[in-house]
Amino acid sequence: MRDVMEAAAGILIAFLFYTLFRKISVSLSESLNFFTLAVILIGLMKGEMAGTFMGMACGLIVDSFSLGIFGIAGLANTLTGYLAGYISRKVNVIPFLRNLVFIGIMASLELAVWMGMSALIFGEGIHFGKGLIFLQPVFTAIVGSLLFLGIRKFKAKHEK
Amino acid sequence: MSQIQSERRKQLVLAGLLFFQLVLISLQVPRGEESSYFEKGIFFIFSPVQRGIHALFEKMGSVWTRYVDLRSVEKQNRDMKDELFRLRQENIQLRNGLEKFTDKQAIARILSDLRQSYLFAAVIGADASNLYKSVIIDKGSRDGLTNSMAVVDKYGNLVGRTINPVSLGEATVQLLTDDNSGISVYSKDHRVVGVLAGDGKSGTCWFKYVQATNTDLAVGEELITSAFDRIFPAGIKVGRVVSIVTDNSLFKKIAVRPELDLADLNFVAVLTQRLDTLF
Repeated sequence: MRDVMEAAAGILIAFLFYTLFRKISVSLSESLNFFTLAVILIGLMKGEMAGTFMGMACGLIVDSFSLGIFGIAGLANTLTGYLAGYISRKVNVIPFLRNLVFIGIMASLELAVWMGMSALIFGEGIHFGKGLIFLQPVFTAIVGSLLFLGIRKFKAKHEK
Repeated sequence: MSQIQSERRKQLVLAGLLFFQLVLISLQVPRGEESSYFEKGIFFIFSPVQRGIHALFEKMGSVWTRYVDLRSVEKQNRDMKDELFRLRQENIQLRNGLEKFTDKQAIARILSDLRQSYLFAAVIGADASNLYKSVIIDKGSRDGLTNSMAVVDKYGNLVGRTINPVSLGEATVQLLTDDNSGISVYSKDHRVVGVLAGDGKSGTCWFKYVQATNTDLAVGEELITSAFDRIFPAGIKVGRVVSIVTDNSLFKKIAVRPELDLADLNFVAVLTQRLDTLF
């Protein structure tokens, strides 16, 4: 139950930041994907099953707030959530630098799957935002690894 | 053994969810632009959340802007009085002009209908994956909005049309820059007719189906809606021709810069009634 509540809070926070950043600056919102960030973090902390369901929920929210094909972001995020949980169980991605690279790779994968399906399979026009979209994995990695570090430190302090 | 089984179960869940989403994607093919109940459901649940977040930050932002506004309120008041005076004069001139064609009662009825045919809405969100596709507004079916109503900005330029999903208090507006948008337009000076389609990538549009042999159209010419599509009323400003290329194909390649400015799109007006039926 606690896991479900945490995932729901994650979705709401991602949704809040997505709405807020769109209001503040379009460029900012294009260079950071909060939904993917939430999916990867949940996958990292709660394992592949939580990551998979979180990915599906976040992806379908993105799809329902976009006029593109419904299900593409869902598919990309589901896969990302699963892989984030699975790989982090097999490989130690806790150290900060490894974590940064890992989140960057996961965010790049999500972007590649989404772009590949949108453009190559469905022929949808992709708005690159003057190239800002390619900065998404970088910013997602930086913010994600800092958040992960912060959460770990907070938990460690709390458990003491 | 149990670990292998657990791994298998997780992989099966993943495969099941991926399959479910592939079904969702494939279900859209026969439906076209009509959104599924599942998609509508998610929009129905989360759009009020977005509306709440928008309202919260508007309130927080207004604390500062109220202070700033107070400092310039006298000048604003003076400017608005000037504007009101000018608009009143314009209104009287237009009424006098109209009286040449029709009687006073008919004019009063037309103006009353005109006031009721606009519904003002605030833009509360943008498209989650492509900025040039759609925006979300804070009016929905409860306010009388339905699918395919024309939407204009505060300057009267065309923004797009309402499209599904439309929830009780929120609606999606397909922008004219969306690559699936098609609007029947004509050039104001030379009356060249065609279809305006969005690009979906850069915010520019294409004026399609103008024959390569056509020599009338010029760069800088204004495009307005023609109402041939039976969605958008005639005479709404859409954009300006920025380049014309003629190659070996049957039609010219004409780029159009839309009048719509996404950075300045905070409020819009939805035309709940066809204005061209009023006159």
